[in-house]
Amino acid sequence: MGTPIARPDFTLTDTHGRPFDFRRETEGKVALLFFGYTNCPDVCPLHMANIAAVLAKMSFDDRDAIRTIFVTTDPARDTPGVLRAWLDQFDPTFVGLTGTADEVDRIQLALGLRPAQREAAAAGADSGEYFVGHAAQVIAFGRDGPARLIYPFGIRQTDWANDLPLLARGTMPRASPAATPTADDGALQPDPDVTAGDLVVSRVVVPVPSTAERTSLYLRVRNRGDVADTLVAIQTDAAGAATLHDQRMVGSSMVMEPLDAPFVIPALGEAWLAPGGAHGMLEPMLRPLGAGDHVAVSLTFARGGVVGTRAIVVPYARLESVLGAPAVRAPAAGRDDATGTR
Amino acid sequence: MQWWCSTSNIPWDWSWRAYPGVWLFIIVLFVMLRRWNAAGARAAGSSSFEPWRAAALGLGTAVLWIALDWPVGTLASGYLASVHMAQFMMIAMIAAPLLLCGITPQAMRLLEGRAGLLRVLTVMTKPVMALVLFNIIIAITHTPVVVDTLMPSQLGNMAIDLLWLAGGAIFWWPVVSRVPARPKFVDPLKIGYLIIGLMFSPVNIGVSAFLVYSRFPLFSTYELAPPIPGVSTVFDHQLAGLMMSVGGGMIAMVGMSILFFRWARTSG
Repeated sequence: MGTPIARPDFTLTDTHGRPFDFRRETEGKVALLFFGYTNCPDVCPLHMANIAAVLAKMSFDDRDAIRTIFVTTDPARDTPGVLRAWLDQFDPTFVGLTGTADEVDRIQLALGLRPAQREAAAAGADSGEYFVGHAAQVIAFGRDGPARLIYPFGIRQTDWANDLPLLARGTMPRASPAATPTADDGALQPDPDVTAGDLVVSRVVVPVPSTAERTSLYLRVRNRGDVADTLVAIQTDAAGAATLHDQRMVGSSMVMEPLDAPFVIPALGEAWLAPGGAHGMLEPMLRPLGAGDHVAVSLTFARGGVVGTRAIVVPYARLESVLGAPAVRAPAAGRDDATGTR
Repeated sequence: MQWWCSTSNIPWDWSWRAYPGVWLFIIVLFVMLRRWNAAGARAAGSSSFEPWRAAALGLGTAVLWIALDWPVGTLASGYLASVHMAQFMMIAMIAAPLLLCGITPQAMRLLEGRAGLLRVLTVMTKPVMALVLFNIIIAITHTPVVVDTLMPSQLGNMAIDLLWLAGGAIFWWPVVSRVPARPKFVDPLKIGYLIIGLMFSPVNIGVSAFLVYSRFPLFSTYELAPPIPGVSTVFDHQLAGLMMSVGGGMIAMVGMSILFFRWARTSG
């Protein structure tokens, strides 16, 4: 069993406008904590619907021992009223919490999750329309306090039905990843690691573009040498240009801008192009990309030279798992591994 | 661009999606059946046949096209189990018999000149054998592990679609086609065959019962698909089960009615 995640201490506002002290309100209960937003097209409604469907089939006592807490990562649109109405579709007992983007980001960072990020909607969409990239896993805090299990996207009702009654009774479900993986996870695996000198490039992933103009490129580079190296250029066969960008907080907003510092792979260390931080920006797109497609990628390093590899294109919902989240229903093994975000 | 429908995990909207493989398949199938009819007419020295056969061929092709292309094919391949079931019924229970009806008797008689093919057809379309094969195909193609494994791939999805078409053709062949001749398989027996095959098949009943009464969704493809607002996964699965049960019965009733009136007319 890995390192448990301590139950966080935070207070946000519930859908009735009252302060909700997470630690106090969920003390002695199982708390299923999830960060998402009501305009989410896939992960959020699926998690909520599946948990609600299973809770509805459980005994009153077991159900009463579980609190489902949904923290919005889109406070601009998810007003308390909107959030309440949305949650009521699934289960009126679900707790909806709102806070400022700063507050919510801090909580996520404390849990080892990357802060949510705003993404452009499809071309031609209303200016008020946008997606929010967010962590896709439900963190399950046990009745004794800390979380020992996380439930990534892909968990099924049968898995919840197996685990929730056990959690409700204070028993740890078996930590073996027995849950059924999602149908296409097997097909959406990154290419094998590419080794070039001291550099090892792995987990090269491109999310299915949410607009026709651009998408991102994520990867991991390990440096086994004792001299740092720098990624100086990226080329792909899917976009006219590939540049290094960064995401950072400006006030309460997450903004994207060209990376203003070299992307260094430290000696005997590793560096990630990952959601929420430095990443490759591919634009303009030269061809449409669908899940399962591949993109030829050429990385130029200052010392290591050119390294060729291939990125797998994955739906956003699969991004975390393909980038390196633990197996379905894996025990929390430490902050980074537990969250699947980097 | 995809050439055939498959599970995409892209949130559903009503944006049109193109499936050139489906179009090509439909065109090739239609042209081949027309050419088969034309060859039959040439061999018989007469191009006259009942006009409804051309209509059946056109209608069968249209139903098949609708079932395979956007939006039915798209929804069926990655969003709704109920549409998946509707697609199955359209392909195996509506398009297949219509396409068979669209083949003229003259064209069918060309099969008699192909001894090997006729032997295979004779065995496969024996009513009992056809029932068994059809049920095997239904059972296999509605097993969760098969659906969840094949649906994400275009090739796998196409395999399921073609299996349904082949299974439907095998099932309807003894009812619709006069080649190979089965003089003992008279209309009242055909009515019984439809009752067994479409209303009281243990596989049909089993699959629909599993879908309707299962505590949890059977297919992860649909359970984890981007949700369609207002449609819960459980309701979707239950609707799929009901459609299989009620829809199969309704199609059987239509077939039985046609057979009954034809039998009444010819025997009276």
